Amino acid sequence: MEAGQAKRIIEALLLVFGHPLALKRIAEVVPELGAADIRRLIETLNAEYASGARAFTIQEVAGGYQLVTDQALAPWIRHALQSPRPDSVSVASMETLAIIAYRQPITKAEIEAIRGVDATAALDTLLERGFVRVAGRKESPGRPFLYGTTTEFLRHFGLASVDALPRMATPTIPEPSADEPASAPAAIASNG
Amino acid sequence: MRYDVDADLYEGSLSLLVELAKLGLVDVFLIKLVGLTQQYLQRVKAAGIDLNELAEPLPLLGSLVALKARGLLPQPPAPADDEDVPISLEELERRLKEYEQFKTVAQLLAELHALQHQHFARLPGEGLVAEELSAADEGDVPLEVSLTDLMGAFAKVLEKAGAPIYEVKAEPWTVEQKLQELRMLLTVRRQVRFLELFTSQKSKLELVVIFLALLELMRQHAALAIQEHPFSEILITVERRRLARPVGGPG
Repeated sequence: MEAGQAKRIIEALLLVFGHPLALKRIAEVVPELGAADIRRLIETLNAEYASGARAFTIQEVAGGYQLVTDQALAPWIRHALQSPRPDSVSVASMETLAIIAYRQPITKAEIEAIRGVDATAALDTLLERGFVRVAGRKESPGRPFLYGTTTEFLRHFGLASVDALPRMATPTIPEPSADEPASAPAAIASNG
Repeated sequence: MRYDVDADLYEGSLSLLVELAKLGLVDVFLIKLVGLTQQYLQRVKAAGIDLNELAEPLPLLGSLVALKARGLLPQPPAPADDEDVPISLEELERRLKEYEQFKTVAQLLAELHALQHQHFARLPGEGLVAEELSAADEGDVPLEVSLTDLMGAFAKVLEKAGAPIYEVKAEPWTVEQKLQELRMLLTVRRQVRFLELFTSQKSKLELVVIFLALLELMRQHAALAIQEHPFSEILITVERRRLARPVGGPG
């Protein structure tokens, strides 16, 4: 297939799908192209958008690609959507979200142990907004819920995957006592 | 966000103060809650209304109050060894450091969030892709669906269900028509018993319409409702009699 045509197809697909489109899905539509080809074409598209001062850019987010507007246009779009300010997340919720994101899967009790205060309200908000979900149960007394982040979280924070989270200042903290959450913490950074 | 306080013997972050007080390293009885409360109120007045910002110190201040209140209670002789295990200073330091780190990344996340909200994707249409994506992402192990997910799914169902269909019934009786009938009746009979007007075979709606018509007729002074004696039957009449008005009734 001619490269120009393939590029146009990818562009059209990304325009049609509002959600991030997985590379796999694009490859299904255009079987002639390999993953590397698609990535290259998307880069070409982005370069064209940038050099042509176009309104779009293609983001790699939540395990896929999505066509979004350039951030310089945000004020006008927001005006058109009649949403004057981006909906904010409270500091408490954001801290809870950060703990879940870096330590997932994690129980509520473990979150509270880190924050030192009750996390019920923050968790409810996060669940309601779809940033966090119940990702299973911990095999410990009471089988408490384990919480993890969602693709919605990745979308709203512009992250390609959990691996793309900004690094924490000091990567590992020594675990001093046995009654601390044992399994979850350090594992995420490497395999997540 | 850091919230600093100035209590006589301590000056600095509120969260640290609470942590120290919890560990008994700061005597909570030496901290004047009045002072903290006034500082908070001042800040509320100065900061304007950002609910998130205003709410944040509240749980911490609340826990100080709780600590102080608990201190007033008599202590049980031998505390159970689960919660109040004294924590070593190193452990405390580690916890605070850990928390500080999460605070830092939380700020980074907030920046990412704000940045991403400068970009707009197509407005969500049918969720064709999202489900497949999440299925692919989360691995093969089936997960227990949470209540939130169920609520979300049901909300989608409701959205797709079209506008509800209401049944509007034709109006077989109108006040005008019943008004006409009542006039006729009163012209012929001069006086009828109130209950006569409402025979039981009639539907509720028709009875209501008749009653409305009667009220309208009385408003037009074309009929009067009278009682021969107290507690006797109510009569509807066209005759203008001298009426004894109930005491204190409208003039």
